[in-house]
Amino acid sequence: MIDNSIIMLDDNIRYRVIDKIEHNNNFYIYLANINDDSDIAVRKEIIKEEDKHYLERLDSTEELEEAFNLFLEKNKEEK
Amino acid sequence: MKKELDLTGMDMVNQHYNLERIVSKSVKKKETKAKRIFGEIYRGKYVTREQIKVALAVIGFAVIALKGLKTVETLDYYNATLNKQVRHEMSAADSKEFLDNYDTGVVEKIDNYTDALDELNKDNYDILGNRKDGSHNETIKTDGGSIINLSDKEKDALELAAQAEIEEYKRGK
Repeated sequence: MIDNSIIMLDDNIRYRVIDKIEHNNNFYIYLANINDDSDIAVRKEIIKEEDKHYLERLDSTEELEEAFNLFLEKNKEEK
Repeated sequence: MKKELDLTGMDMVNQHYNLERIVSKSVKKKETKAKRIFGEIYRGKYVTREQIKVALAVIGFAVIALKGLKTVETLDYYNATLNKQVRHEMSAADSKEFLDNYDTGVVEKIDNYTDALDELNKDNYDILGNRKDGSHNETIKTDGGSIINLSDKEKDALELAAQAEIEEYKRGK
């Protein structure tokens, strides 16, 4: 079992996985730069042929806003 | 000794928020390829409560900006009007207790504000948010002395939201 809680994205920056939320058959992954917690990215996890996992950018700012609202809703108990 | 609400809106924005950066990292551009990862992604095992709080603040601001709300002015006016109402409505001892224990976060303040906007009677305002009867709110300034530039409707909603917090506090006593 591989621990993938730290991911390097296409900007060659390492990100920590903050959260993973399923919605409408998509898995949204919330990432924070390991050197700057306020530097955040959101990606979608997709599975392609032979069970290969990819992190894909979201299709639009509307989808990004939806992903934001999912995160806020899930974590609003945290203070 | 009364304590003013800390963290101006501008401080919060500068420290925690950059919508353009988030969008550029998260939304597809032409010809962007997906990054392949190996195995399954788990929730980061080293995530702390503080990291979640920072993420909440950043994402909260981003949502506000996407809706086109004026984040800095909104939070400055919220804080200023809450301070004013607390001093006006509570005893010195209660004011101190309220302010010493005040921990409402940015995201919750914005939620309170947007809820209050929905409660207002929209027929009382023109398209620019000015009150149709010509009346205006009392001018409230930031701690730095700046006048906050919001419409009557926005200010009314913020005062309603701040008042709701005070009423909730009083009910809990």
